[in-house]
Amino acid sequence: MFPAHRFLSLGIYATVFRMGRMLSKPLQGSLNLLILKTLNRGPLHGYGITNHIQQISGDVLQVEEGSLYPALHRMEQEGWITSEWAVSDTNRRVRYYKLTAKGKKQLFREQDEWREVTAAVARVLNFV
Amino acid sequence: MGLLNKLKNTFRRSAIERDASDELAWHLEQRTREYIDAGMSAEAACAEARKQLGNVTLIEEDTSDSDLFVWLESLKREVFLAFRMLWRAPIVTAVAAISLALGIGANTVVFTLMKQVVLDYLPVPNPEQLVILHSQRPEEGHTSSNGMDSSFSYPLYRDLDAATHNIFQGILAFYSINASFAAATDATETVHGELVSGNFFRVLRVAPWRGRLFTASDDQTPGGNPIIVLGYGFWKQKFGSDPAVLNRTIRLNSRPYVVVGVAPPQFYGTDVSYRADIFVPMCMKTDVVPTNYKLTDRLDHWASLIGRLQPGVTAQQAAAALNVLYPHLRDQDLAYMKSPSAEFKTNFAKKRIELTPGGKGFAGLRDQLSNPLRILMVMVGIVLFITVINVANLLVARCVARQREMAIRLSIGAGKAMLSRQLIIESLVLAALGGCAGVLIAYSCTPVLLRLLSFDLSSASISAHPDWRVLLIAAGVTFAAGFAFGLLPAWQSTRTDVASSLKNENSYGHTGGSVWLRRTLVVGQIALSLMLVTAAILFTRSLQNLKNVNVGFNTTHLIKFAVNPLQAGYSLPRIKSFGENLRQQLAALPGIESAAIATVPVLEDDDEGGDVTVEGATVLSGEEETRNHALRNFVSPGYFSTMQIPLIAGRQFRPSDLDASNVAIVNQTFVNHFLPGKNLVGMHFGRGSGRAKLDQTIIGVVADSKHSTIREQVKPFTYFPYLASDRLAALTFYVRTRSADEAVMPEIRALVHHVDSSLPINDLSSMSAVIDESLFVERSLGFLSIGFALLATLLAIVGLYGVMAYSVTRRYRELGIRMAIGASPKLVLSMVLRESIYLGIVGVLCAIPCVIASASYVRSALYGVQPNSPSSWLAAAALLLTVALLAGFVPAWNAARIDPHAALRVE
Repeated sequence: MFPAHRFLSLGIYATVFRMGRMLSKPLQGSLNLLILKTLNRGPLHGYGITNHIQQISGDVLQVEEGSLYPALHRMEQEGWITSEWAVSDTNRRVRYYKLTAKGKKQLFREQDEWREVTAAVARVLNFV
Repeated sequence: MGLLNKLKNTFRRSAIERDASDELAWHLEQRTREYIDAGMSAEAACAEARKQLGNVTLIEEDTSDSDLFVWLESLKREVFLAFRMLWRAPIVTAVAAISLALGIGANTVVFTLMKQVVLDYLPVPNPEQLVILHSQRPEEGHTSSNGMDSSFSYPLYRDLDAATHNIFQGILAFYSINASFAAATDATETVHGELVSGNFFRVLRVAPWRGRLFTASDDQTPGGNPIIVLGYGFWKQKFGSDPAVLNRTIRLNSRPYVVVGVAPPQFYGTDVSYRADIFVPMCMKTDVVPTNYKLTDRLDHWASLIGRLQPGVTAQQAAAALNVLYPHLRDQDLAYMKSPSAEFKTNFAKKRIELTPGGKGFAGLRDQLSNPLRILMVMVGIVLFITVINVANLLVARCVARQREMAIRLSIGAGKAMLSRQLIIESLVLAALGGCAGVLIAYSCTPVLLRLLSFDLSSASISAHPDWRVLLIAAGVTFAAGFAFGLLPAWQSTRTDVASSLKNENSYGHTGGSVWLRRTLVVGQIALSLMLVTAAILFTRSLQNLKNVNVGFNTTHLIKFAVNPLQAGYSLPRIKSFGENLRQQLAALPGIESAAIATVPVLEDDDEGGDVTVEGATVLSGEEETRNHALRNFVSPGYFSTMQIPLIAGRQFRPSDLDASNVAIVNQTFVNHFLPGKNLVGMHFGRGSGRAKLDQTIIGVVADSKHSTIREQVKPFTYFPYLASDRLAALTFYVRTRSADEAVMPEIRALVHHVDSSLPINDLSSMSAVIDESLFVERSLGFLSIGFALLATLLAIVGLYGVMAYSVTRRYRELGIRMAIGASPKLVLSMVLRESIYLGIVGVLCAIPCVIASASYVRSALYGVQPNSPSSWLAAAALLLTVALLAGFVPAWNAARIDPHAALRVE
């Protein structure tokens, strides 16, 4: 049957990764973190962001492309990133995203949160 | 996202869309190239890239989803879709919209009235500062009520106003009047107006529309300021809004008055039930309302007072301060009283003034109508509730029928939230249709209702059209209703099981829940209808009781009319000769049996009375203040025979008694109250209490008859010869005719015109019409409650029929099997009918506690019926059960004719 749930209110489930299996709710929001972290290195286009995340994670994390652009759009609305257009060598318009100061703050905040959560999860897992 | 951005995006929409698609196109291109580099064919690479990215359009939309324009765009699409879906089921839509229209229309109509009569404030600035002053009754001396429950003497008013500047910005006085009005050459007509103190307009803060309004200096010399202010409506209607009316001289009660100004359009005076045509300064009182009392008489209580509080002063503070002053102000009144006893003086000094909120002004109608209007408001509220239930029921049913459609839409990617949203939008569109039709109904029905309620639209300041605030509320109600009945189907749709619906495994199997839902809704409908039907039965019975009340005189072939010769400037002797002359001429007309005169009209909510002292009688029962009270009327010879009030003992007034000031006739209640069991003929009594002279001889006793209202308990009553009265103003003629009343009326009119062409004839009507008019509240309540009950019952039938028909369809196979294995059609018929009756019974059982609990609410509007009398609700229950049976019959009949072969072959 057609996966109707994929279209259930995109706003809520937008940040879902493909990792062989779908990661579910606990990882929601981590797409933001990964995008912010990636853009922290310098301006990049959407395609580049997916590739970067995939390469660095050793193909473990694959950004679901359908979720990437809406996420970028929302982050832009939040003021965490800005975008500008450039022209590619194939004469295509390419949109580059860039981290703002506000986005940088957000990155640190999310990074801290993430570390906290993973550390907590690790503590639970390591408990014998 | 900020609104500004949203708006900006709205205008940049095409740019944003292009950006989004450019970006995605580039992404696809890059990805495709990557796959080709990895060794895929161009075609496969492109397909794979697309697959990875997913639904491009969806992403594009999602990328700009916070865009207002997109939102509006999708709303527009959804509204169009809603219209299409509604159009596809025209009958359901029509039934739903019409019943909604009736529900919303009825609410709008009643609320339009309710708002104006009960809720609206006077159209003046800061109406909340206004308070009404109430004096304690009874007052020594003469009191005329003016329809208000409180009155003050003019000197006391002036003292109060002068002494309370620290409490009030001013106290105004007014008195409702009727006067005969004649512009230069026209015939005279009776107009309604207000006699007002000089500060009236200043205290109310009303500004002139044309010319000027009164000031304090216009109200100084008694009889010295014959000036008049016209009401806006009267100015428009009578003078065609002619600005040249200023300084014109008109005649009021045959005296010249100068028009000085016109009041503003929205200002109707202090009583919303009568639009004041004219305003006259209070110093002209003895001219406009001729009596024997001078304006300066401290024992003549007549003026109604409204004060405007100083800013920051509360009504409680004002009342406290006022009551310190009040006894001192009233000390002077004592000097005018005949030898008051010490006990009287102490009691008199204890009299207090009470303040009540006056921002809504006085309204005779408000007291009379507020309770019935509240009852009606509840009734139309229930009707609306039933309507909403009915529509919800229809929509739930339709939703079941649309289950497949829902499943398909779910399966091709519609979210449940989206579906619910669509369903709610459909409901709102439906509600909007109903609401618009409802407002149209309200526009056309309010004038009808007003006429039904016997409002004289030209004189009342009640508008027949709902104003924008009422419309706003109607819109709110519509929206709430749409949401209310939209939620159920929306909730239902979210429970659709896609797979089984699509496979059509059991087209009704999943919706067992909805049957219960619909049954519950129908039970609610029946319960609410029962309440309305019970109310209708109660009000109808009450009206019937009132109509059957024995008023004590024969009301058929009896005509009444009134003339006011005093207003036309007649002297007392001339009034007397005029009265006798007209009475005899009337009696001589063919078709007229007899004619008589009374000074106080009967059954028109009017009375006159005072304390009496009866020879040898000491009354100890009853309230101290009304213990020795008796009403009185001054009547002509032949009054009792004309009215056909039976004589019990003694004799009627004879022509020889005509101006005898020492004879009286009393009623049976008078005898029973003062000297029960005694023969009073030949005994004496005196007017006044205490040491009054016993100068009246009782010459006869007549049977009881109702005097001021039909509802009243008959009170002790005394009749005196009218020619013996030392003050006569209005005379009411009662004419007993031989045959049809209408035929005689023109003759009477012609005769009065012949006797004095300048004398307006007022209220010429048959006595049964007078009684009908006095019952207008009960009549309209009865009529409307029947209408609402019928509407509710009809809606309940529709609802019940729908549920039963659906239930039979659902059980088609089951019933077929039952019949195949031997159930007779009769058995099936009774099975289905039983279900219908059960629903009816459950509804009735639910309603009975509510009926009993709300009984006290309607008690005050009933006459001679107990609100919780079982006979009423049993009758209502029987009616509704019959209706339930009828509504169930057609589906049951269909069930009984199921062909078992066909039923078993299904699927």
